[in-house]
Amino acid sequence: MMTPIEQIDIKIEPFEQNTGNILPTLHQIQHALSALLKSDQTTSIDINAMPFAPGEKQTLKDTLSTGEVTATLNALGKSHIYETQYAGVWWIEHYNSHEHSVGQFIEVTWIPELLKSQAEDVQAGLERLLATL
Amino acid sequence: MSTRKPSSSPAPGSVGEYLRAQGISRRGFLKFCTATASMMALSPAFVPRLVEALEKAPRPSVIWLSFQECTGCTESLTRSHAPTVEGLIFDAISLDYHHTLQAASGEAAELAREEAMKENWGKYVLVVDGSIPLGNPGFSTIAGISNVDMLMDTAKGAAAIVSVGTCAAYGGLPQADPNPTGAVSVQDLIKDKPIINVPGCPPIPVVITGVLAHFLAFGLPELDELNRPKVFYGQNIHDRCYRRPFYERGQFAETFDDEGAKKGWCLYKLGCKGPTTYNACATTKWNQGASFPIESGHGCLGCSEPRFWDGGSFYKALSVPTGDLGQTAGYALAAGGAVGIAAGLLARQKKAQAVKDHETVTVNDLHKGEHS
Ligand code: SF4
Repeated sequence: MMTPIEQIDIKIEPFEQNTGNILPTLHQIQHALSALLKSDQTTSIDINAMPFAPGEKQTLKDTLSTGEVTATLNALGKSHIYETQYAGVWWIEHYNSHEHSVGQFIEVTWIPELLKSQAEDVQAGLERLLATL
Repeated sequence: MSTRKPSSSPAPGSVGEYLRAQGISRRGFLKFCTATASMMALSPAFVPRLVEALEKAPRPSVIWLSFQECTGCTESLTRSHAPTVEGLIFDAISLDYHHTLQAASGEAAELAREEAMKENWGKYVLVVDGSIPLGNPGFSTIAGISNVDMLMDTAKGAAAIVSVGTCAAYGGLPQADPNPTGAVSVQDLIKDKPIINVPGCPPIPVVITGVLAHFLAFGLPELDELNRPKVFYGQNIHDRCYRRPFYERGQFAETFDDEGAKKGWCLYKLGCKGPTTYNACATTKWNQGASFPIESGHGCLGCSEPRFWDGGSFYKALSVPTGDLGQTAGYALAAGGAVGIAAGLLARQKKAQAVKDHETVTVNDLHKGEHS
């Protein structure tokens, strides 16, 4: 049996030179927060679309840190969603049912869409409830 | 407080309906679309458009032919962690023939292919992995049918062809000097159909599913001059490489175990082909986004580029292919004559029509729609 990759104990050594992509990302977040306050405009940043040196993603995560809200979604595998120390800035990580990461995003929004109940699911739930009454 | 209404039901026979029938909640579907958009290298702003498109998109019939190949491309795809978010895209297509994966064999399998072709004439997607030997038709056959005959026959009714892996896209390893089987690529033989090349040895699994998802939702993706989808192959490894600052400063590893290598300096002098290679490895990465060759300390081999096997040593600083192109070009020419396809005006017109029928959507078009 092969060892699954996530069970291999990989230690990422701090890298001498980073890509310099953390600072522009923080600036992007700052502009997105202003836009959210000023015009209700939400922003989503696909973390995996950006080149980061080993360990840099973690540095970004550490810089944003954690805030007041943490939620776990259970749909097609888990999704971890939490608000960072900056209210309105959410870190979202989607996993598949094998616990492999399938996407990482920063969302600048009042509340991530995925946390809201979806009208279609509410409708289906209502029908189910009606059937039991 | 705004009211929220359920969206209308997905179109019958659509991908959306299929997913709903699997008991996937709307939330699950949104998550699926978010991950898929990321896989398709689309900005998260396109998720609502993807949701809408997948609700309507009919599940296409897919016929998958494997010729002179190592099964690495199919492995790459099937190891892309089905049955999960990515696996669902694969499930959402109707895979009617794939002789490596299907249970049926021999005549029953060939019958399935013929039936799928008849039922979906002009609409099915033909996926090919592996190159086609022209030196002797007997070098590679399936159910007694030579690869070239099967390809030409199956391509006739296809809406589009996806060449998965460098072998199908450009000839790959079988075509490497001295090309003992007379291997050619799909596009050497077929000139009148839209062809999407998804090269790589193997291609990144999520790029294969991403291309299928793009075709499902938006039709043919925009291609570069080598017929590769620009969303995945539009960027150079070197331009997105995290070691680039070392390159700029002239700090290079000279051996695999010197101080420079330990400090993560640029691998150019150790043969890295990043500067001439277009692929998504530097951002999408491999093994669930864990790493990619350069991050593991080895230069890029340039496996998504034509004739990368013949580019001299993998460990020599950038060089150009040295093999004898004459013989392979001869095979390609003979192929054109033997099967009666000339790269002439008629073929080009047919291709243009086929492309029109399957409207190409570029990222710019999507942007336009986004703001309309
Ligand atoms: S390691 Fe390769 S891709 Fe990265 S900067 Fe050096 S030459 Fe370019």
